[in-house]
Amino acid sequence: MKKKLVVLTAAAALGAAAVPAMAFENEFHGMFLTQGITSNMFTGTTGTVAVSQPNLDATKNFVDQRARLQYIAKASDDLKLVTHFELDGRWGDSSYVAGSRNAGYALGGDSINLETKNVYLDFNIPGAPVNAKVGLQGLNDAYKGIFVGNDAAGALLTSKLGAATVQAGWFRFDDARAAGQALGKTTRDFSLLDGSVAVTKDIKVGASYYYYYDDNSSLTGTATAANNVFAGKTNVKLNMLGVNGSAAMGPVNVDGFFLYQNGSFSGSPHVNAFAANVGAKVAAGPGAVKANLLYTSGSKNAAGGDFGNSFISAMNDTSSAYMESGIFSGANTVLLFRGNGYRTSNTDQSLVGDASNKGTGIAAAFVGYDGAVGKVFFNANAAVVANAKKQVSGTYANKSQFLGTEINAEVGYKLYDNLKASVQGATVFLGSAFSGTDGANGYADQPYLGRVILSYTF
Amino acid sequence: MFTRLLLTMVLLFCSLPAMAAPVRVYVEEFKVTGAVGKDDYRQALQSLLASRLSGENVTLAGANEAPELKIAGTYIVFGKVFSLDARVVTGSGTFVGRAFEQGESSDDVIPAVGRLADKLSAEIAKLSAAGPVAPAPTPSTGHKEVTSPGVTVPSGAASSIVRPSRVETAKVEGDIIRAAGVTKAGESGMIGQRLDGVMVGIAQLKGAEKGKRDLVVALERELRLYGQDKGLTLLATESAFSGTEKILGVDVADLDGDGVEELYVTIIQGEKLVSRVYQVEKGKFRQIAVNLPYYFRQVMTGSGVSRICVQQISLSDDFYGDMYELVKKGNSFSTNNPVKLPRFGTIFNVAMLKGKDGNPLFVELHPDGYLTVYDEKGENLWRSSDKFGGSEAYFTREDPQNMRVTGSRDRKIFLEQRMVVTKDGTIIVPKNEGTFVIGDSRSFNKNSIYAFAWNGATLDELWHTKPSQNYLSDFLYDEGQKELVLLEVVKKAGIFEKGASAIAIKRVE
Repeated sequence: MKKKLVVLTAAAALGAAAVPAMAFENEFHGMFLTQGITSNMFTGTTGTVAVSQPNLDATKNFVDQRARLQYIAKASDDLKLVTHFELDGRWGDSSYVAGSRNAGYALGGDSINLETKNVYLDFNIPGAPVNAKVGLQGLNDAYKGIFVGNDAAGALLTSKLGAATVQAGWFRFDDARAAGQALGKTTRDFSLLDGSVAVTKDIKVGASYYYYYDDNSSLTGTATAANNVFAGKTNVKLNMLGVNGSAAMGPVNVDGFFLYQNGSFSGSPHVNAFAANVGAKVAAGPGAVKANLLYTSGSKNAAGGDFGNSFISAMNDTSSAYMESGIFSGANTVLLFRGNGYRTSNTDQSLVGDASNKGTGIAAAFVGYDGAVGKVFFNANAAVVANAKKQVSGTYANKSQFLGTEINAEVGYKLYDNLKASVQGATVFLGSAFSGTDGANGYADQPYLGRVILSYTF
Repeated sequence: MFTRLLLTMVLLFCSLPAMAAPVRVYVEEFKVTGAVGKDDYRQALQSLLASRLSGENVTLAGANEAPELKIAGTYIVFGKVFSLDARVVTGSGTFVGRAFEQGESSDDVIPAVGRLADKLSAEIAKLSAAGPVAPAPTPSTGHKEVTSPGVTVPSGAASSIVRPSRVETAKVEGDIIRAAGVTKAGESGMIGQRLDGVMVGIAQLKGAEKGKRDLVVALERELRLYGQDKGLTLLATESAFSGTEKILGVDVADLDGDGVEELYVTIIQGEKLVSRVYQVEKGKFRQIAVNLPYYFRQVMTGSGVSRICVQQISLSDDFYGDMYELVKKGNSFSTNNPVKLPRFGTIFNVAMLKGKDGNPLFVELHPDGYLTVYDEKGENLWRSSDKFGGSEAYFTREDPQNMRVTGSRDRKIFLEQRMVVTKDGTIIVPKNEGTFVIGDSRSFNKNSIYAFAWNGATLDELWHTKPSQNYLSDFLYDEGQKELVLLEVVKKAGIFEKGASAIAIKRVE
């Protein structure tokens, strides 16, 4: 009892010292999205879809929904707790389920399905121009998410000094999930040091050093091991150096980056890889033309375990939702390659899951037009994607690198300031890398998707 | 509240006699300070005063009777000088009046008591003339001591008279004085003219005849010039805006002092500022500058003069760098006099005024809505307890990296309400309220305008207007005519509807 009192007293004293005398603010944000989908490719779950006639010969029709609620408890301008939760699932999936995510939308509902995306403390360090975020938080690299764009637990320090911004952080991606492993022994960790300078209001440049350490050999043989090119390997050490920049010149905005990876892992030669991007946005008419070129280096025998030249993204090892990392926010594709622009819910799928493309790398070009007139918004996009390296083994052995061309379009209407309704269609013209996916010389059916989306954000 | 009012009224009705009669007065023993022989003085002075109270309106009550008025006196001596003070209260303890007399020797005590009695008699006579006075409740009635809403309650319809009586009392008692001002500020009312479209900004051109105004209002993609007299007359429109441009605000100034005012129209296109400057010539809008990369806002800069200030947008900052004053030479524009804004400060949420020491102060509408005062070094001096400001005006910027989290490809950047600082340092701040204002979802439906003055430590409220049941999108203060001109949205835009606005005028006295 006495010990409890001491703890309570200490907690109260700490709280009193940390919280200035002012009103406690409650801030709420959130979103709700529901969509009706018809597609021969989407299967109501997440992950990549292997191109084959059995996988593409039937049309699937379903409806899913996702809601997110963010609650921010602001003690002061310098201290707040950020929490972010998610509830999502497919209509009719299951009901009365205990402890199952993405479920509970069948007759009766009543499932325990609240997911925690973020819980972190956001505070300014007294006496120093430094902001700290500590806990499970959103983590975006400075390279359009090409290495990591996901939720991760860690600590991130940010300091703004005039026109310069410096970030330093450490995140623990995984820690000893197999039985018998000591905590902190077999981990996957990520450290970052980002710097950027706004040279003028129209020019910004940045540079980074990232260090990625993966000793998570426990994943060997698990169902999700195939998602991570390094699964089962030990002592994966990657050093990354990158530069990035953006500039505005009249109606044209350009940006780009180069991110170099150098490292090693057990039983493999040196890793020597990179990713590069150039993007442009040109205002035209009631919208803007957007274009992006992306190249990530690959190895020719990725399926055989050769990752010497494979650009690596920090993928999610623990579930089939690994596509949430290593995405590329400049992608405008829905089916061919998953980008950030058209992410909707937990049923998003694609042919290429991430920028490493399981070690083969990718070469991709994206172009599109995005505009709005009054309350009507619209976009139309095209993209071509290829394996960066011709493969000597696996699915693409001795085949063309060309994976395909996607076209998609969306038109929508802003019903209210925060509520949008839209229809979107997309299809992929399969490239010659998929020849023989329906018989000796034939191609599997052309992937397609049509959906109606209702999206509310606040 | 209602129960208390009812009880008070019942008590008043019960206490009112059927007809006017002399007021029963009881003089209490005096309190004596500084005199030798205090005990003697207490009763002697009580007796002297009681016997000198005169007139047909006064009868003396005994100690065991329920008096209508009680007089409590004090006798204070400092050296040779003395003071006789008397306080008149009702039987229930409500203060009615006071009087005093003083003298320079004990020889003057008895004459002074006489003079004091005359003064008190006169006061009692006034009260008696105004109407019967409520006696102290007697134990037999079973009434508890209840705070009386007023002292002078004429017979008749008590409930309709008590309220103004209370207001009148309030008028002479400090802080509540301005409660009457609130009422007056709401007298002018709305011009009963529904204007098509949701309007986002308003500004006034000078030069109109007295009692009239030329008003420029901005919609998202249109400018309109109205002549305001008893009604509004549309004089000119300007609608040469593309579908991708969005007007964020409009301000008026004669920057180069040539006698011709300019309109400074903040316009954003995508993520670029393409603001314009107009003049009104012969009743028409004439463009004199386009594609200016500035947010405009008329801001008091601490020198007692309001200027057009500007700020810019950058690749990564929604409000980039310092705030500058805009300079006009011919039809070209430049900036000077950078002002470093306080924490969270942008061109749209700050005003400047002079502190007691003459140094400039920043008044800021904090992102959480609190009115915050900073000194020029950025030290936070004060923060309000209530929230103010609140605007539905916003622009968007692409945010693809956070689409993963937010579910939206864009993020919203909300602007803030303008704050006006008058020549005498009064700062006028709007307040919008709404039942559905959560996160980035804003729908205000009620507003009022508040005025404050900096007293060196806090912002003291001077007055506020009574709430209006509409969202306030912008306002101006016509200091010459001492009128608030409020731009209100009376119907929000719907799926297929444009919405509507109206202009309300409120006189500030």
